Amino acid sequence: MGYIQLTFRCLLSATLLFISGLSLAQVTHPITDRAIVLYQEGDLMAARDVVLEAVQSAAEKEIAYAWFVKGFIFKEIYKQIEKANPYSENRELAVEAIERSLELDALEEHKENNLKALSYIATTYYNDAVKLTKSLSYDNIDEPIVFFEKYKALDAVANPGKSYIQQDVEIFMNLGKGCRLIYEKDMEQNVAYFDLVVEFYKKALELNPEEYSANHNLAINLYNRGVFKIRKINHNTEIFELISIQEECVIYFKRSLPWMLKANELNENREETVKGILAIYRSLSNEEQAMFYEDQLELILKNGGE
Amino acid sequence: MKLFWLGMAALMSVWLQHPDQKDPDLDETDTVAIAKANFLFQFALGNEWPNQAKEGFFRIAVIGSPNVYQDLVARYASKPIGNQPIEVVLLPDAKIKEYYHMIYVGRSQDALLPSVIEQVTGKPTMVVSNAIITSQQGVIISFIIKDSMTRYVINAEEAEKRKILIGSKILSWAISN
Repeated sequence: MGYIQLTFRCLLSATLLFISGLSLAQVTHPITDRAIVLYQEGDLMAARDVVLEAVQSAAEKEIAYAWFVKGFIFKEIYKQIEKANPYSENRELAVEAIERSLELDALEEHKENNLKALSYIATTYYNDAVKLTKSLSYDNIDEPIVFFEKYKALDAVANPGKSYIQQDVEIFMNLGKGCRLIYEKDMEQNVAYFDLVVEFYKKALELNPEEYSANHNLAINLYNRGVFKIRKINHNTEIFELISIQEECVIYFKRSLPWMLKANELNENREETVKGILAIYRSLSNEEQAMFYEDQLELILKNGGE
Repeated sequence: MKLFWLGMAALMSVWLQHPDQKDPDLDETDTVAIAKANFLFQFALGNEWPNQAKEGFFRIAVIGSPNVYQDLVARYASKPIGNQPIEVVLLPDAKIKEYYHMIYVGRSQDALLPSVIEQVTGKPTMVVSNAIITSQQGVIISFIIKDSMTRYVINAEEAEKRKILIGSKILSWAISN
């Protein structure tokens, strides 16, 4: 944490020096320069008002520099005051200002600093997306994707050509996990979230079929759903219901198997995966395969696990 | 510039520093045992034992299948069969010292079946196993695997010999031998 603060302090100083340099060199932006002075004096809100005046003034509204300063000041407001608020309007305004500055900056005088600021903001959207996947609820299920898409859109400006596939995979996996937590709160009522778990893992696997965790976790979720169904059996269960429940469970177990086998193929002889395959074959009453994987598991355990 | 990217890396590392929500754990419940225990309960409930066996506890012995035993105890032990409370016992071997209405011999103990059958000859005891029914005279019901599911076949002749009347519901869901 201390390191991060130190880094930001260094960044801030570097940016201020840059801005000060610009303000000395350019004398044609009096309102914008006044905003910088106020910022340097620590009066962030006054700086905000003045820079807003600058970008609305006839003299400075088409100046890339003015918009860059607006973006910087609004970014600072977000950073210093609203960092914990993923819905910060000032962050959005900072992005708009930076994008406007990039549009107007034909000579690319401010490009590097604009992109730095944009990268910083993009990262904050990324972090918000991650945080939201960790606290998913009924009400915010779509939000992580919205924030993640914002991150990608902004980051792509700063890093053209960059691939986001692995990050997409990770966000889908995290959404799968988040939905599982909601589903597990009430596995009867929240079954729609189980479908989302499957959907998100499948999305991750469409992007990267070789992702071990996605294969393994999808398999476990499907298998556990089958087990949950059979665990509901009790003294009130009639024979026909028992048979029908078994039929349902077998469907889940069979759906689970290929993903678990694929996980084992990707990360061979891992204890948790072999245990999973063994459980699936046992539940499918495939004794021959179960015995094979039981021997495999024994061997793994004898050799001290993974 | 370097410092800037270091700062970015530190920010991005939030993803790595905070472990994601825990991965799901495999539910290690023995699903086949759950199904078999329920079938055994249904057999107890849906068949008719002779009058002399309708007093005291309805006694079920399990040999060689602790998971089936545990499930029977957990889910059904408090439910009576008619007026008879259920008593479930896990036998450590094939020595049948008392009367049981039903004896379930787990797959791992198939070899003990002949001995069990011999000890309950002529008694109204329903022997349930996983053995192929034609090869085991004395077994009334045997679990089989059909389409990856646990089902059962009935040896009606053996049931008649032991004076146990197979209920219509139990008969109707049995697989033809």
